[in-house]
Amino acid sequence: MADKCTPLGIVLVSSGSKGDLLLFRYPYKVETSNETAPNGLSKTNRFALHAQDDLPGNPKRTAASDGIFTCFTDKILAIILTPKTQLCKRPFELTVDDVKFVGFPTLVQDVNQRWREEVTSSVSVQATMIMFNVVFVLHADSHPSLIQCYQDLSKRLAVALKHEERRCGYLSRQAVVVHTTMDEVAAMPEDSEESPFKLLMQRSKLCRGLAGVFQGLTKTGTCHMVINNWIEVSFCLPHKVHKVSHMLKIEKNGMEESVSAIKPYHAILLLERIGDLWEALPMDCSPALRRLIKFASPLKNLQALASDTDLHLSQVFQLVGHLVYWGKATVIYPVCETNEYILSPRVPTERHSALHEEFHQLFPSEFLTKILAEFSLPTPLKEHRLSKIGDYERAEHSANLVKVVVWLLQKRLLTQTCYTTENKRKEKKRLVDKCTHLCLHRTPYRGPQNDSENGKDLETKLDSNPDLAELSKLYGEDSPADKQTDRASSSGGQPENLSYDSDDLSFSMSLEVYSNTDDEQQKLLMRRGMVFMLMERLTEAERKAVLSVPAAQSPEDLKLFARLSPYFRGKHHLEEIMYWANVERGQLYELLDKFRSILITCTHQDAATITYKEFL
Amino acid sequence: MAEAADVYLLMKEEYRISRNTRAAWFFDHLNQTVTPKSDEELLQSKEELEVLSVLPVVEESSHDSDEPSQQAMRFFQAPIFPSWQEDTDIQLGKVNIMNSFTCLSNCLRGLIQPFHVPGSSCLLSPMIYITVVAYTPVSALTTQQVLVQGALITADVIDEVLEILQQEIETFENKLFNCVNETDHGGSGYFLRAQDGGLSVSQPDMALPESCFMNMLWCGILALQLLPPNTSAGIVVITDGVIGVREDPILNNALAKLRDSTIACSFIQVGHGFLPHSAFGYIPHTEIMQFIATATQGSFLDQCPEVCDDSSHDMNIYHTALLVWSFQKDINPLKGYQQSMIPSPKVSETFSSGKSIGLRMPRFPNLPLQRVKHREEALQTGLFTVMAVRLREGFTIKQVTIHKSKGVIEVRLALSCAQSGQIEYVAKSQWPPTTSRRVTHVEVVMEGTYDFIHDINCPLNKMDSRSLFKTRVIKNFWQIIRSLRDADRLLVHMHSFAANPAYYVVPEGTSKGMPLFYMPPNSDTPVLAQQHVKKDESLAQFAQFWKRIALMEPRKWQRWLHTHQIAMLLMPDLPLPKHLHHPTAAGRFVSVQCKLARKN
Repeated sequence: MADKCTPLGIVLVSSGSKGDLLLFRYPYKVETSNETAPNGLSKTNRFALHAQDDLPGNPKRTAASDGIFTCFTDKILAIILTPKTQLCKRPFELTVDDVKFVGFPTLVQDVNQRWREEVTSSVSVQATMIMFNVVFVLHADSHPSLIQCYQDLSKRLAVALKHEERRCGYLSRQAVVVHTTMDEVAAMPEDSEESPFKLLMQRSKLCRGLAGVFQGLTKTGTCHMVINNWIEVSFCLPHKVHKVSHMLKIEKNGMEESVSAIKPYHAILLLERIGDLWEALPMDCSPALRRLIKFASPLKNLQALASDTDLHLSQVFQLVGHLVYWGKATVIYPVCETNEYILSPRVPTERHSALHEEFHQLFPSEFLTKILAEFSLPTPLKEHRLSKIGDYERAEHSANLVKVVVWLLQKRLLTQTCYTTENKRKEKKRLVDKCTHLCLHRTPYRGPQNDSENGKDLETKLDSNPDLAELSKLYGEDSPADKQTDRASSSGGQPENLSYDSDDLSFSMSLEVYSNTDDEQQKLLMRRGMVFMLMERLTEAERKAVLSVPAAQSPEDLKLFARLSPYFRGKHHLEEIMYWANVERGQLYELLDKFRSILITCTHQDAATITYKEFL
Repeated sequence: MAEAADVYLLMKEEYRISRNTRAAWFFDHLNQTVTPKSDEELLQSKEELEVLSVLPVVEESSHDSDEPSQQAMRFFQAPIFPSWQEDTDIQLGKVNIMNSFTCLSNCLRGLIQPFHVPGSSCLLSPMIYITVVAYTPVSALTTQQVLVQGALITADVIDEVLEILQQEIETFENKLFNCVNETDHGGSGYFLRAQDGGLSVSQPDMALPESCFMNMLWCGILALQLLPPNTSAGIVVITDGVIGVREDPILNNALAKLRDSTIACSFIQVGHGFLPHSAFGYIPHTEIMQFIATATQGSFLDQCPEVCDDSSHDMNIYHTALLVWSFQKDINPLKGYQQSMIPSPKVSETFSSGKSIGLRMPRFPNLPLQRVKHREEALQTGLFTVMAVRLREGFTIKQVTIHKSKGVIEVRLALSCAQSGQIEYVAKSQWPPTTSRRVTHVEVVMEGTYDFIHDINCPLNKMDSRSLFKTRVIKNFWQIIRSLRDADRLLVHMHSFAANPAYYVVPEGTSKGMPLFYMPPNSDTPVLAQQHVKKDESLAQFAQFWKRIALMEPRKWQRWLHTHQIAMLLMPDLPLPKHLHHPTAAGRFVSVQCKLARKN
């Protein structure tokens, strides 16, 4: 149900000395035939088109069925959407049958006093506006996050309108235009009667703007309105923006989480041409944003990008997060030759599509189908390079290949291999996810008698027991994690290719701990220095477990372990540990091996790319 | 006798007290016992700095007696005349204009409240002169941007001032609106983009955001000079944070000027911080604001809560942020100096939905910093003079350590001069200081992430592939390193003054009124004027010593010498011609010569 997130309509109501009034609604009721519909909008409203298919046999389709919520007359809308003043200045939500109205009623009485005479002196009717409400009409079963978004947009519009009302009585003036038009229409003879809203579309800038907001939201999910040529309001509906054709639903919070999970070793992939993006930016936008877009490259990690643009890393994160939110970019692992790509399950397979044409224009010597066939098996990028595509010179060829891959990634036709792996192991993966945050893991050789020594430990262990069995099975068998580990350690000499082969096979570690006998006490005393460090970060039981590992006898290893111990909580993956703690891949794997009796690695999704994954 | 954690000092109103004086006090009283005076004595005192209160260390620290002096100290300035200038940056979301007014009013109301310093019973009420300037990038606007100039705000007049301000801001916005919509020639709106209007956007009459910000700072410096003499000057920029700086040299230039004139540049951010769903293209650049605030000893407030009147007269956040000059502010700008100070975040968001995402990271996130020693030498001068110069250059004191057993004092200073790198300057000297033999061992250490240090030390010709910005950063870094060395040499040179009588015995000719040097036309180098007198060894030495000082750029004098600024208005020698800005018939412009100052 892609179109659940597009609004059914937008309504502007006001309340004042003339009572509750509907100032504008869009799309408005088409009087006669389709040709009077403005800009063919009733056609672009996809809900209207597909209503039959989408909701077969839904008995309550009356209100929303034709997309213009016709069963509500102007008068009724005006009455139900203007709450009492006590309810103003807070989000507004009203559900009637299968439509939901959301808005943000705002009082203007306090700011429009001084304009009253000036504005209304020209017209016969004295009208004062007390409050107004920009209302979006949604489906009744809209997700709460969606409702919140629309309330936010309504609030933005309201704040801007109120400011303009304060400054120059803009809203009152527009209301006068509306009243005059309505009076004119009412005075017309019946046969030539026209929709007042159609006239308003010509006469009132505000109405045109609101209609523009509606159209923008319906088409792209973004809108941009300049109220009274002065206040810019822009808004992006993440639910819609990130939806490429029939994608899964994105929740706003999920989006924000993935934005905040951006890491220095990720790269940014712009989804639009730089030129277009550049054009789309407001004139006085952040200079840093322009700079970032200029230097952005899918081959470069964010850290390198930060140093190229002379921006601070956290600023780069904010900029990237912003672009991702607005659907202008996505986060990937830097494209490098060890990356494995495979076709996305949703690649269009028909022979002639718009994608084919676009591709052919960009790369005249290639054929999309052929390229796609190339990626039907997961192979590292460098192996594609060695064979197959054409007889190019090596350098030219690889440059071209990278361009092709970037284009495919932009169109979301490719995904990194891990995706399939993850599907295969979906069930296990879930288990792993669950386990990583438990810090206790019982090793097989330990008897239950120790558990009874420590009641607290016992509980946790018992809880985690079934999962752990699964986990050790997973770990024991030839899991992709192990494969990755091997390959990665063998090619450990390329630290600048930060990308890990897998996209979402992030490795995280759990510290496995078991209680121990008292004779460790002496060693504990002997190595107070290191242990002191451990003490700050680990629990008593954990510390004992660490010290009982043979490798802990070597001061060097223990030192490294102590240094890295904050990361062993299942919340950091290997790339991250390498980055934050500045250790080499080899060192880290060695340490993992030495302490393998208490450290486990497991796989779960990388938060930053989850959203990206869901598009595919 | 307890170890002091914080010492509050009072700066008297008669003087503008330089950074050096403040630092000197610190070192004079290091490891000494200080006792605050009574309130009456305090008010009578004619001293530049008076101890207001001393707060003991709360927790018993377990330091060895070798290094007890890691104490922070805050200078306190009141009654003050900080001139204060506000910039309303209205390049976008014009709703921010009203927000910034609220912000300004909260801030001013908070500031003028009387308060007393922790540990002291003396009630202080600041005297504040303000100038408020609104700034806009739209250069076509010719209207008055100075909203209020040189107003002394007190509790009595604050309401009046704020009312005027509000009116002025509204007028300003209306004028700007008219201006913008006029220049648009009836198009579809100035801020609309090309595809909406069908016309290409009229770019030229809007300054770039980068240059805007610099203009704003210079404008602030000028406004400060026009205010009455004061003890402490500050620029407060109220902005939404959508700013940028173009080039490091330009920024450094402005920062140097700010530091030279001891102006603290503080920022108050209006609106919310970064939210991914903020309006498209507008992202506050918090880092740069924090950087500038730290570099000029200002502060950064990311919100401006309303301060209610309370009878307790504790210092509120505006007092702490804008009136207190701390000797040892955190070098690390991203550590969020202000964030810890605001206990309850009262965010007055215009658009609130969802929470702000904490994308803040530590400045050098856990990355171990590489340190490369660049230079080490022994300077024939005292530690405090070295320190004074460094403080002028913007260094902040990171750590002061006294090794009693070795009789050595070690001061670590740091200057962060790139996003991921900084210069550390370690100065060691004998302790307690002796007058006879003054040698300071200094070390210059480059500190930064591995990548940064690598870039810095990579030969320039290998940098072809680097981005322009990166190259610029690296060049700038080396420029700073070089100027450090030059400054050190000049310092030693100047401090050799007393060592040789030839340097300070004025030659015969000069004492009779002959000039020592003269500037030949079209030349930058002064030439000795008295060569013809006779071959005189002492004259040559004297000239050599003073030549370097004569060559010093005037704007750098303040860094080295005690300067006092005298403002004067010059009178043109001849009455000004009518059309000054139009060329004469011959196509030339009239030159104006002024030799005399206007009297009275």
